[in-house]
Amino acid sequence: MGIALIVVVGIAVVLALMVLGIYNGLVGRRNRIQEAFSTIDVMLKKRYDLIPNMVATVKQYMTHESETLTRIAGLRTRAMDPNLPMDERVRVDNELMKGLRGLMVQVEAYPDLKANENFMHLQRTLNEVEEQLSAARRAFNAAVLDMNNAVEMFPSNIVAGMFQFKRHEMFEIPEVERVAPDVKSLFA
Amino acid sequence: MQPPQPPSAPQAPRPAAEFGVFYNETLRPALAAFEDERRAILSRTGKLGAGLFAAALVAGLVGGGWWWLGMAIAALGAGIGFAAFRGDWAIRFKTTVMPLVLDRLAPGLAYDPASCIGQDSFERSRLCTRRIDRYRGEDLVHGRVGATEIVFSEIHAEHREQYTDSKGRRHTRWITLFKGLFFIGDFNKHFAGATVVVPDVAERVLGAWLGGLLQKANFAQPGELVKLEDPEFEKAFAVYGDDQVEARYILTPALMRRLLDFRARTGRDVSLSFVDSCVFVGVAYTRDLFEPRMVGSLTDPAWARGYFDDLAMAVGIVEDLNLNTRIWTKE
Repeated sequence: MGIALIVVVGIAVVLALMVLGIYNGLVGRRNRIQEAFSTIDVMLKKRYDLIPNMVATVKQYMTHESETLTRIAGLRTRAMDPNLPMDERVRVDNELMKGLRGLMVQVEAYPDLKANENFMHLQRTLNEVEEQLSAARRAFNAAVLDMNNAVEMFPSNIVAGMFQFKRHEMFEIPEVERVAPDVKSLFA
Repeated sequence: MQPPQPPSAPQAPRPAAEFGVFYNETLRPALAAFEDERRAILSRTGKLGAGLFAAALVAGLVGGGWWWLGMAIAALGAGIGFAAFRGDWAIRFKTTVMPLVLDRLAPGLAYDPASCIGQDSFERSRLCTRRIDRYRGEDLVHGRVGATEIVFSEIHAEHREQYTDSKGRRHTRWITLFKGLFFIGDFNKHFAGATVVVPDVAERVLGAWLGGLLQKANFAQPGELVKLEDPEFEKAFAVYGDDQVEARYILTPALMRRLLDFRARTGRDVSLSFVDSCVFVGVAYTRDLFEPRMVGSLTDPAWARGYFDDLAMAVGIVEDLNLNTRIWTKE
């Protein structure tokens, strides 16, 4: 009787430790997703911060493109609105990037601007932020994949069900971002 | 779907394609001069060996019983003679032929046959996780290829291990940590942390799941395991980094494909690390690199091509890793 009790208690302790370990692992994964998501936000903020400088520099040369510049400035203000729903924010952000890429094409007609050191530096910084943003999204997706695997695989799926850990959605790379800017040609 | 990358900077045409012209016009005449000397060294060594062996034989016959000692001394003498004949010739060969090939591949690179990348630089790469007890190298090449500052050399790093056999006797053995070509290049992006890319033995042997568990438990590597999206890359390499986002900022989908191509082209174990805004590349070789051969003709086009290709591989890392593309803030 005594041995049976010890075995039962032993099994219960092992199970409790397993549940504890899996639970902590799930919490760690959830926190990693949140951290990755906030990194994306930081990168987006960096991108928005660049835009006023870019517009100010470009304005001096591209006097005939004021409509494009006004639209870009407006989109940037909207994208930075903290109350904007996520879907709308992604849409505005995509529009903004489309506008910026269009602007880069128009720069072709302004050789003085292309040669402007400040503009070239801004353009390089924009490329860098774009690549960092892409890396942050990939890190977010990797964290989500790790979480989703844990939520669906045995035995962590049981613990996930008990404590209501859910699947997360991956960050879809918008179509506009799949077309890389031909930045190289701008330096030609 | 992988987002496409910006196109790379215009590169010099891959010189290996024009090897034939370079070989006939430049390399062959230089090699021919050393080929005559190679034959002379072999002939002199042969004569010295024959003389010593004959003397040993006579001494053995006269002295009786001890002929094997004479033979051993003769073999040693022939070996010492060969090393003495070859030493100066090999250095002259390298200081003549290496600059010719380097000039063809990327003009302006400097060559020093007696120097190598320092141990501190090798350790800075974080590619070696064990204590180094013996470190040597040679054939240092340094300079600029396009916008990229590079340095590479042959190095051999070893670890000393002492063990006790079943009879209680203590022995020392040397374990090679790295032997081969080591390359350091100025990377085209700024970064603050360290990212290490090493051959993934665990995942290749044990599969993705079990191999993945082992990778996570690999405490010898710095930082944490970085799982990337490219399954082929994941099968070939394990990535560890201080920062998940930074590791992905460096290892873009395009660079992952380039690294796979580079590994396939070399057909060797390739390790890389990204530290202090530099890229460190280790390509493992068991043979000595950039040495003239003694057996077989130096003017054999196939051998000359192999010699050329070893150097082209090292210099070509700049192009293979797209290091000359400078569209980010690092110029």
